[in-house]
Amino acid sequence: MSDPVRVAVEGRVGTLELDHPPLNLLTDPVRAALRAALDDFRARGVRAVVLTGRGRAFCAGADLRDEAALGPEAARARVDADEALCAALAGYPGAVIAALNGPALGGGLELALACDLRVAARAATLAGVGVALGLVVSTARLTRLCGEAVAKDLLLTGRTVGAEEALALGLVAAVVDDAALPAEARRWADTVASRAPLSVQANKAALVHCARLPLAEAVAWERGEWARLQKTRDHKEALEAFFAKRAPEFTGA
Amino acid sequence: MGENAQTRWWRQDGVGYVVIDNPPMNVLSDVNRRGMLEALGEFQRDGVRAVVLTGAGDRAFCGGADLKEEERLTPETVQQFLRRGQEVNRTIRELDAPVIAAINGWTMGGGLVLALWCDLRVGSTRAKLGAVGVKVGLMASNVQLARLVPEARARDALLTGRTLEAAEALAWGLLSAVVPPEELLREATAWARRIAARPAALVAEAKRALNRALEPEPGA
Repeated sequence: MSDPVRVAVEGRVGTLELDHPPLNLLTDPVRAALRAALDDFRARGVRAVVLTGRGRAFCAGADLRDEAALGPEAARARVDADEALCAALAGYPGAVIAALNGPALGGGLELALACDLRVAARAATLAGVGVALGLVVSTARLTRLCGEAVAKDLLLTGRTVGAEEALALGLVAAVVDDAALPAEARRWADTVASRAPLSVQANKAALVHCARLPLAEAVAWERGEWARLQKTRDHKEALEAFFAKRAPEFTGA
Repeated sequence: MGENAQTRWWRQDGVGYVVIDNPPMNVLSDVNRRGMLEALGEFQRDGVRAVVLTGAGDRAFCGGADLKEEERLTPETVQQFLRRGQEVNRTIRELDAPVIAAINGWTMGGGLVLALWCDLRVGSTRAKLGAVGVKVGLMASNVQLARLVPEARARDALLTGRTLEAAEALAWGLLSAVVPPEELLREATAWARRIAARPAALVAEAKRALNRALEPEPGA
């Protein structure tokens, strides 16, 4: 059996391509391969990751054939494994960009929502199919990412949205022709990879941490982070580069 | 009505106007921070019902911190520097009258922070907004942006540091209106007068309630 995830690193950008035809369903080998690759990227200092699907789907979620046979404990373990994978994507110390090449459904949508940014091909479709399957998925992430109105619309109806509507809802950041998707995802990844890594990490962490705080505490936290980052070598490099009118070269220190 | 070397302010028909005037980019300084505080204090005392804040010229609303000033900061002076910036933001937030940012051009870094602490933003077609922390190895505007737009969009702007043009900022709801540059002040004034026509105490109460709306509930 071939590897269900194709992994590549080019420069500071890593790519994870689900290759489990025809629908790139999530299985234990897929989850394990993704997590191992993320660990490897982290160790190698990869600054931005593109997650995409090979073929016609991004990811159609869990394999319902074997889910039907799961007992309560195994079902719980399955949910935990999915969340551990999503947490690994969300907690990656750099940006993770989902390049949606086709349908992202159920657990596949959740995978996309765990990424920092989503860019879509016109062929992409997104659906939170929990209500169609008698399950609850994506409620926490979608509400935070797109607001309660959008989340209730999509998750209570289970309806499918196309790429253009997803763009209007703020669910994806850009839509391009199908053939242009890899280049577009790469462009977003390169942009984030060129930014100060500690600053990217601090912003990611603050988006999670500060959402739970009263405003005054959130502002105090942000001020503390500003003062911490202001002392870093990368910030000094940014100032030097600005005054010398050149592009900064960040090292993550 | 008043002015200092980098700030001008006046009142007309119940609306207060403050102009940051530090060409070419209207970067923040002690002088214009002091000017803004003085103007807002005066407006609060005099019961001004709505305020318009804008930048002089057609290039920038506010380019953020003065990098030369920032470069000289020491561990002893950095906290004071941050407190001074936050004092202006907090004053805008706590002012009874809503503050409308009239975004006439570049709005970056600390300039974006300032615009986001205002209650409303209207822009000219030249408005360009950038959360540039990741471009200079810092973090700013994270907290306000994450409250004003859904997280998916906050992540986009904050992690890429990219420039949002006026049309995109309008689609995101960051700007409430976009008009040609020569109409910006008239547009901002129209928004301010619409607010000034409402009962002042009610508007102030609504602003306070909105300021509290996203606060986590005690014990949550």
